[in-house]
Amino acid sequence: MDLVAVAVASLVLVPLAVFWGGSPVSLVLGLIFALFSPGYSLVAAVFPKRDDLDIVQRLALSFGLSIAVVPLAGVVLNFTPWGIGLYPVLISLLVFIIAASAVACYRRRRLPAEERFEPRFGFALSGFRGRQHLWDRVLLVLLVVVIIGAVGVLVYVARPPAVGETFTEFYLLGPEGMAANYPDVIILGEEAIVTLGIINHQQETADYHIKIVIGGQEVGGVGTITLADEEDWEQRVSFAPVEVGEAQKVEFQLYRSFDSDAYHTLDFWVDVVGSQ
Amino acid sequence: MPRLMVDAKIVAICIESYGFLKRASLIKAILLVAIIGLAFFMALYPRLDYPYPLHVDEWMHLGYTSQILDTGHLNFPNPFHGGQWEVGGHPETGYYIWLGTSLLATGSPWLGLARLMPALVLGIIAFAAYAWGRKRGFGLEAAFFATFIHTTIRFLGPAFLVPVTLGLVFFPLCLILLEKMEKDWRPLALIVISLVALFLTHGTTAVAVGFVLVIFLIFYLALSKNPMRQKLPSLTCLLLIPFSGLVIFLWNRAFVLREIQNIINAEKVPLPAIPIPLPQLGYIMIALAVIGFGFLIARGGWRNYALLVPTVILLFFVQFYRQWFDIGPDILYERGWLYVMLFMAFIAGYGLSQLRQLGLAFFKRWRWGTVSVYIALALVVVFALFLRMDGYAEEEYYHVVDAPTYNDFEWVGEELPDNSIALLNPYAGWTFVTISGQYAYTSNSYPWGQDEARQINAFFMMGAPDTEYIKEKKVSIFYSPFPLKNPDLVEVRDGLYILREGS
Repeated sequence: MDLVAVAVASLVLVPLAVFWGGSPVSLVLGLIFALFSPGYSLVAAVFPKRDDLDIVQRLALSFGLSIAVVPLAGVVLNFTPWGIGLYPVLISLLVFIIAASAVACYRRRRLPAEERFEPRFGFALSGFRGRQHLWDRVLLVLLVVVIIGAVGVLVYVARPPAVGETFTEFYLLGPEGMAANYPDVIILGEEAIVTLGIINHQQETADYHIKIVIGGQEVGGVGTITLADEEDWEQRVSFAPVEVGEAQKVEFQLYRSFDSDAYHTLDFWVDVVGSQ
Repeated sequence: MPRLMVDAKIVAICIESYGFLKRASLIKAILLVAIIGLAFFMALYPRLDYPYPLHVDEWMHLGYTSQILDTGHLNFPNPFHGGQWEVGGHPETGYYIWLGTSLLATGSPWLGLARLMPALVLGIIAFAAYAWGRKRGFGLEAAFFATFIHTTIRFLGPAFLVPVTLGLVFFPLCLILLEKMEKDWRPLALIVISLVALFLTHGTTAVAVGFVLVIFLIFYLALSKNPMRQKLPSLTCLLLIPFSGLVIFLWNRAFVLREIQNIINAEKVPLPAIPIPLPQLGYIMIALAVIGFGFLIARGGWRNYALLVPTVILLFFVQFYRQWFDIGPDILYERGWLYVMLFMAFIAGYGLSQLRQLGLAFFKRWRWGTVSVYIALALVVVFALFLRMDGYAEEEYYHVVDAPTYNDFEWVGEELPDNSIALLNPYAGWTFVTISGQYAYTSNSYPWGQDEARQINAFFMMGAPDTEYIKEKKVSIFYSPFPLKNPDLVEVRDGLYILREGS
């Protein structure tokens, strides 16, 4: 039963990891798959008798030997044409788990029934309601509470804390919204286009405005942009230089409502040529 | 008839004992789960208010792991040095495969797993300590004190996602197998598999585990009264342990030869000696370890000596070897405190369990004796934990990256072409590569590479004027603390510049 559970959990994981990787279920099953199942099936194959090891030692060895088996499987994969990727890793470990479980089943069946290791995880709720001593009931409840508490601690500490810093992202992209094709030569009288973006991480709603400056002269900009915390804004913005000249610095200045000096400034250089 | 009555009494006693045992097991289960919960908390205590990995090594390992998953092979262009040369036969390959497999199997983002894994690994260490110690009556105590293992930026520890922490699992694991091997050949194969994997994961820890196993085996072979036939598996194990190290020699011969060379030709390293970290564990644990030492000597037997001797040797090694002998490789000295602390946890656990047994035996006739002993033990545990947390609070950890920089690097990964090379402060190279997935021209960890850092800073201070030089180095991203004045560069975010295509 235990080996079937391990094999089934591993079989379920493969499609989960491929199609729904990152979901809470794939996280739990994936951790079991990488940290427990290979070792458990190996221990079961090597020690099929009940008296070989007690359950606590089996569990401890399962974790430890999984940590040993996984790297060795990866090294072997490295020398195959498939390399170390999602499918080869999942399938190779799955094959290992099922093969070791099959060996364990075979070895257990060769033993008399009373000598086989067969864990029983039965939890008789009826017994809990029935004639159990009060202390036993209290202890059982306490065990459940402590388990929930331990899992709660794990969830609590594993959740990333909120970032304490307050800041704003301000970025500059090309006209197609990619980090490419920034204007380098502009014909006087024509407009150049870039994409500007703002992401508010100020932990409160903030008002921004943008000025576009060439050679100290404002040539364009964007009026008030109000963004809630974690809200973003991205827009194509055009500007037109006012005089001909090589290597003119185009500055995009971001201001918050209360800033007198620019909060962020981005820039690039353009050559402005006269229309022929 | 009288015989039947006696039998009935025995049955009644058995039923009562069964109930008592069941209750005792439940209490142990409750305490064990609570200790594992404590382990989860302790592992992430230093970064409760910080969302990213703390230590530069964590970033480095995550970067290498990502690169292996991207390329699919264990030989890959070094992302921390612009892909200029290939990494092959990395001595911590096993760790990267383990981490990479966990990432693939869970589908979890690396940042989430980087927070979760240290907690799980310390939980496994505590559980393995329990599994090993319980046969000798100090499982819970050993598990409890195993959660105390300290973490510093110098010798690392369970709060960091690093290979040495994973390696700590193998100490109790191999000891469980070793004690099982008294009459059985089967654990031998599992010990060899574990050591081979450990040599590919963290060679230093593999050497330390091998050393501890050798001492245990020598004491067993010398002092155990078992017949020689039963000792054959242990004797074979003793002979096989050095051979398991061959795997790292076959994997990376140059690395092994270099390390041997380091041992022979000692080199001064710029790092200062490590201050003794034991006070951070709290004086109660230290006192219990001293008591445990005393009990181990007094009780005698091969098992006790085998626990005592490697601890004393490791302690001597990490505290005195550098100052007296000054021979390398330094890594044994740098990581050795972790092994010492793990074994001190075992011994402190042993000491506490012996005090418990003595107390129970001494006060057994007193009506409230048992309760009083357990209350006293609970107080010891609570105060030990209080002092330990105090020690943790005193430790200072640096933050490698702040949120704005993290967002800058993440943006670079999303918006710029893959495998672009960035020039930036080499000490930020580790985080840049891992967050962005791009290459850094060069990366280094302090105090190494200071000349390089100065040169890059000087280049930025001049405004990075030389486009030909930049193109020759194949660099297209610049993260500069100074404004750059090169017309071929576009400032796309604060301090972040890219080379125009076609420049």
